[in-house]
Amino acid sequence: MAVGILVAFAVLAFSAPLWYGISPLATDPAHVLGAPSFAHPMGTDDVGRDVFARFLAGARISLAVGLGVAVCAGVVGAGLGVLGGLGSGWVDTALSRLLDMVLAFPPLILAMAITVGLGVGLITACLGIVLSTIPYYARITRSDVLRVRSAGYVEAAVALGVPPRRVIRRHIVPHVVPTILVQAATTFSFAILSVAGLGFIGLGAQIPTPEWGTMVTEGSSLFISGHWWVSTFPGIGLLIATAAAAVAADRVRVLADPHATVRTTLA
Amino acid sequence: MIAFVARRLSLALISIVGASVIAFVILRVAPGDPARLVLGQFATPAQIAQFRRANGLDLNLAAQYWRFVSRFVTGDWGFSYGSGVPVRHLLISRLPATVELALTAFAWAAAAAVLLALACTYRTRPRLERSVNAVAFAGLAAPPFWLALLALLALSLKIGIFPGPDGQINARLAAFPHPTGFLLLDSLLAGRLDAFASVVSHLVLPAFVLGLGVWAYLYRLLRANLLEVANEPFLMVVESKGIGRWTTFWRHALPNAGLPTLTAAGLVLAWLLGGSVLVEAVFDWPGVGGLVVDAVGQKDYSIVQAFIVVSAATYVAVNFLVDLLYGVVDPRIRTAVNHGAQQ
Amino acid sequence: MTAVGASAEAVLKITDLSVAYGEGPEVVRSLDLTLAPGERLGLIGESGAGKSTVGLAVIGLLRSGMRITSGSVVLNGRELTGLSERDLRDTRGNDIALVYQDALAALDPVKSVRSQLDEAIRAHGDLDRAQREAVMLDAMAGAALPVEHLDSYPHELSGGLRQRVSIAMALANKPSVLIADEPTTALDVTTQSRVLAVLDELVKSTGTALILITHDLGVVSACCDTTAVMYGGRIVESGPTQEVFQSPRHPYTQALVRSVTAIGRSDLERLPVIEGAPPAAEAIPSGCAFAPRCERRDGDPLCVAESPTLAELVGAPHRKAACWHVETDGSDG
Repeated sequence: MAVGILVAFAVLAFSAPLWYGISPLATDPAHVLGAPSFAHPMGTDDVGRDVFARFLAGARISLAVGLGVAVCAGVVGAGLGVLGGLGSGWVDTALSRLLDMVLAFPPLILAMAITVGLGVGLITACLGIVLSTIPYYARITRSDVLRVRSAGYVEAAVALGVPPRRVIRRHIVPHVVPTILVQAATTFSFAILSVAGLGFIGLGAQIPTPEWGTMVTEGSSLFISGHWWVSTFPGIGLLIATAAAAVAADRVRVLADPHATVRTTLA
Repeated sequence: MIAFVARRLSLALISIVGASVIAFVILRVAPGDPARLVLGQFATPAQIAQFRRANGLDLNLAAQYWRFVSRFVTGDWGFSYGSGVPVRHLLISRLPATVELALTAFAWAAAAAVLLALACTYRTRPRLERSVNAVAFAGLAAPPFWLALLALLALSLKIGIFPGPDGQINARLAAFPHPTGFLLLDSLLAGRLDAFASVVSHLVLPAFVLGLGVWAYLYRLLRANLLEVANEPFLMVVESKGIGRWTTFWRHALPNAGLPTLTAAGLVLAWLLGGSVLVEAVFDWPGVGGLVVDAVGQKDYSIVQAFIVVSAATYVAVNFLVDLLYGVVDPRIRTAVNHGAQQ
Repeated sequence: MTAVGASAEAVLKITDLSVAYGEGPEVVRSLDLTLAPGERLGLIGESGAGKSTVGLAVIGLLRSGMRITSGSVVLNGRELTGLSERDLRDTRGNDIALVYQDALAALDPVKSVRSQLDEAIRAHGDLDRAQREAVMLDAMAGAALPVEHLDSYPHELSGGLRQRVSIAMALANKPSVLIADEPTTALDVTTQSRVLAVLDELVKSTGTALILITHDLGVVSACCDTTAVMYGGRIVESGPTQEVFQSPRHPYTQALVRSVTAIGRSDLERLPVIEGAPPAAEAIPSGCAFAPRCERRDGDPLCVAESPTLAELVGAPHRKAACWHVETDGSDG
């Protein structure tokens, strides 16, 4: 259900140029700050741009950011985690210390720092979020690998002379993948929220990019004059996408660990 | 015990040093020449060279790092490029407002999380639980800055029960001394009930918005931990002594479930730090978060840099303290630690 | 309906007690049991016979989902079923107490022995600090616990010591009934006898009546005046311990006693076993629950048609059995 919402969102957003003719960047001085109507389902903003078109474009950006960050950070983080879990003592120690340094930053603040350092923009914001989420993947993967590695059946397989490659593929990977999936779903929603947050304070996508967080900023001054629709709709988009990903994370967790059913469905 | 503390402390120090290197490297490549930012577009090359020398920008990277760290430790955090005011003064003068907001947000969030998690666990209450879970999901998913705008629109502009986004207190009220910097305390100390009421009404919305995510996170964590404890036989034994179910859960299930929840303190702090940046701007709150957002807008990166380093240091310090606290609070770890130290 | 040893007025009287799991099967089925003041009763049965459930039902701490469907539990002349939560709370730990089976899981790991003991005392009556301290020391001494353990945490104590803390806690307010649910199963054998000795001594000195729930016949024969044998949620035989063990009447008790006494013999290969397995709660036969495994039944249709009631034996009115093939006052032949 949650995944369904995300997929439906994605299909709608990415097919939008086919069925919704209005450009997210086209201004229309004749229809400035129009309330939601039949022609403009989510109204228009202060330069007459169609909020619905911008909303759909924002969905494309947010979903792409969420997916991109989750995958990039996942590949690097899980790789480092496996390396640490299977590697020799000093590799593991060195990696752990390195990750500790990154973990010394609150994630959003690190993303801020990287964006400031590399230059403000959507891409650098994403890069910042990728870097700040890598250690979480790595840590969780590493502890999973260590757990599986010392499990009786893996030690038995090694003792029986099963080649390491095969042990990793047959025994370790299947155990680690669900954990990574859960982390990916969590990262997905964190990334969407963070990019929007950075956009909101001016460190992410720049005006007039139709990114949801930036759109909220643009609309925030219009709020006071009663033109609520400019900020409200992108916020709702954020809420739905993030909540769906959070619910999906819970579902994956339950599927991955049948014993945890009670705990995770309720918590 | 000493060995344990020493080990944790050294790990924390390594983290902080590493973090400072990362912060330095990242921010040193920051675009925009600080000299140009400070001196303006019409500075002569000679002025710029002079500025670079004065600020150590002509040194090699290692020397620059050393200069940055040694100055930072001694309290010299540089000057605001925009206003020329020392960054440390700026941050410290803005700190009480942020701390007051964050503490209030944390207080309600923690209290509500504990009460609701207990209420959903000590007896089976499917309906209450479903609704609380739904709100918790929304609380985690809602972008705080957007929620802040909605709250302002609904409760301040439309209904008018709360004041608009004009900071911590009604500016037209007569001034009173600020010995602690926390306006809730200061107004009470000054015996100014009108000011106190104004402070409270200004605090409600931002504290609510900032605390919502913390509440949702703590609630879900505590609830999961409580469920694990709920079937422990010792709870039944406590009840068999004639202790009521609520009291049993309060006195025995909560401490047992709360210990693992302690480890989340770091993430809660992270949420509050990040959230204050996002929320303060909306409410025009005179805190650190608002300062940082303004600084970003004006490319006044010395402020951002100091904020980032201080955040990381606080974050590491809190995680370190939680580690220690965990050892002190949980008798099992306490013993293990003491034994470990004796060997 | 006079039960064994009930010459004085009963301190605990259970009548027709049934406990069910939700809307599902009954785990305990119309059970009668009477306990005289100071009586030490052993409640034996295999796991799943419903003996622990009886204990929890009496003290009103059935796990969620379990509920009393009928019957009454009268403690010191007071009906406990249907009592408000508040009144039940006053009773628990004061008139009736519990020692839980798993000594290692029965104490809160993050609270000291002192605070857990104090909690039991403080819940009933308002003594000041010094008085509570005195009661605490008294309880510790009664359970043969060295005073220095008062400020220990559970994980610092051995299983035997922990169970003695549980016993001290349960008996601190000198209740009239103590339910000890397999109090020694989690302990090793030498510790077991020590804990049992402490329990036995303490029960005797405080005059507390004891329901000792166990599957260990040795434990029962060592420290119980009377014995009740449970099978399939019912009591199938009861009476003075020595008599029940020496001349068991119910075929289940006979088989049980045989299987234990055989351990003393050297030819362990021919250890007598009871064929089959005890019935699950949802599959208890409509007649006598033991009928499918019974050697004595010999094809008697009555055994599977109707459930025999627990009735006094002819010629031994202080003993009872529930079997169509034992001569009782309640049966017709």
